[in-house]
Amino acid sequence: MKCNELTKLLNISLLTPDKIDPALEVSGCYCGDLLSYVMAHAKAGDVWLTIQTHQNIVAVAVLLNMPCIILVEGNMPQNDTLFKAQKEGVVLMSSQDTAYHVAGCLYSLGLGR
Amino acid sequence: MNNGQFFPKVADVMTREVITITSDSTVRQAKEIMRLNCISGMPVVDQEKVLIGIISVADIIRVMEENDLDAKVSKIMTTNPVFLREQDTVGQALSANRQYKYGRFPVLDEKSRVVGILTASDIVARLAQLLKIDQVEEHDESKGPKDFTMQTIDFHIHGMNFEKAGEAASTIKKILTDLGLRKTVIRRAAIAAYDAEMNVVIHAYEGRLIAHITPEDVTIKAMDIGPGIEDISLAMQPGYSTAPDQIRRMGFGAGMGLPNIKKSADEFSIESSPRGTTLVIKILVE
Repeated sequence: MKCNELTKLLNISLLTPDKIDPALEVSGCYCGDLLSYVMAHAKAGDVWLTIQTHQNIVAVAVLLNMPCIILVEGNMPQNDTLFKAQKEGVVLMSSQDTAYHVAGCLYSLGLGR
Repeated sequence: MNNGQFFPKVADVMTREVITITSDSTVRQAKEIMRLNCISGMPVVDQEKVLIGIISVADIIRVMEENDLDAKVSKIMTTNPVFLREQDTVGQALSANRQYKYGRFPVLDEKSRVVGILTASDIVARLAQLLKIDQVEEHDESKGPKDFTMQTIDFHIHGMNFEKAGEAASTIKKILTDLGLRKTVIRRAAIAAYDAEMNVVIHAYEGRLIAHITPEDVTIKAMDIGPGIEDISLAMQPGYSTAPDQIRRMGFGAGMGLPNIKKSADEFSIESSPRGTTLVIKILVE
C-alpha cells in the first residue's frame, strides 16, 4: 500500500507537500507515544500512529525507516516538526480519529496482514 | 532524504601550504627540499604556479642510480600527473586515491594553478575534524558494502536541547547506510545511538557521542557531564525512569532507554559517578 492511498481510503489529511513522495510504500503499522518503545518495536515500512507532535518524532521515523507518521485525535504538528519532516522526506498526516480507529481501518484494509 | 547543507569538497580538506618546485631546478635541489621538509614528493610548476608535472622519491632514487643529480627536474618528472580540482568532492578524491594508488594529488584552481595538495591521511584527519562541527552529507551513488578502513564521528550533545536531539543518531545511521552495512546492524546501531543521545539530552548538562566504525564493528561511546545515575541496576530495569513530568509528556522517559541499548548491543558497559556517565556500546558488523 502507498502512503497517498491512505488519504483516499481514510479520513486523513496530508500535511507535508506532495513533492516529498506520498507514493512511498508502507507495509505495516505501529501505534505508540512512548518514543523508546517505538524505537524498540516499530519496524521499517510501518505507518506510525501517535499523539506526539514535537520534532523528535521525525528523528524516530527516519532512524527506523518509517515513511509515514499519522498524528491522531486531531493533533497537528508543531511548525518545526512539519519543517523537519519536509527536510527529511517523511510523510506527515493528521486524522480526527483515535489511534484505535485508524489502526482498525488500516488492519481491515489488509495492511501488515 | 537530504538537502545538501554540507558536502565536503577537496578545498575543505586539502593542505594549502604546498611545497612546489620549478622544472628548471636540479634534481639535487629537489632532493634537498624533500629531505628538509620530510615529504616524499611534490608538484612541479611553472612561474605562474601552473602544474606541469610531479616528482617523487622514486624518481630521485632512479636518478641517483644513474648518478645524474644535476639533471633538470623537467627531465625526470612525471608529466600529465593525476590532479584534483578544488570543487571536487571528497568522495571523488577517495575514488581517485583507490584508482591510482598515488600517495598525493595536487589540487588545482580554475586556471590550473596549484593551490593545495591532498593525501589520504589529510582526508581522514580533516574530515574527522569537520564532522565534529558539521553534519556530513553522504552520497547515494553506490549500494552494497564499500571499502573502508575506519571512521570516527564525534558529536557534541547539549542537555535539554530537543531541537537538535536525534541528529547525531540520524547522522550515524546515514553513514552506516552509506557504507552498506546490513540492515539489522544499522537498526541496532540506530536504536542504541538514539537512546544514548536522548539520555544525554534528558539527564545530563552536556556530552559527546562518538561513533567509531570499522569493518568489524561499530562502537558508540556516550560520555556526559551530568548528575550521574544513582542506581545503575535500577536504571537498567525496563520501565524505571527518573525523567521529569514535562519530558514524559513528550513521550520520553519511558524507562526503556538503557534496556533498549543493552538489547541492541553485542557488548555494553556503563560507568557512572556524580560527575557524569559513560556508556560504551559495541555492535558487531558480521
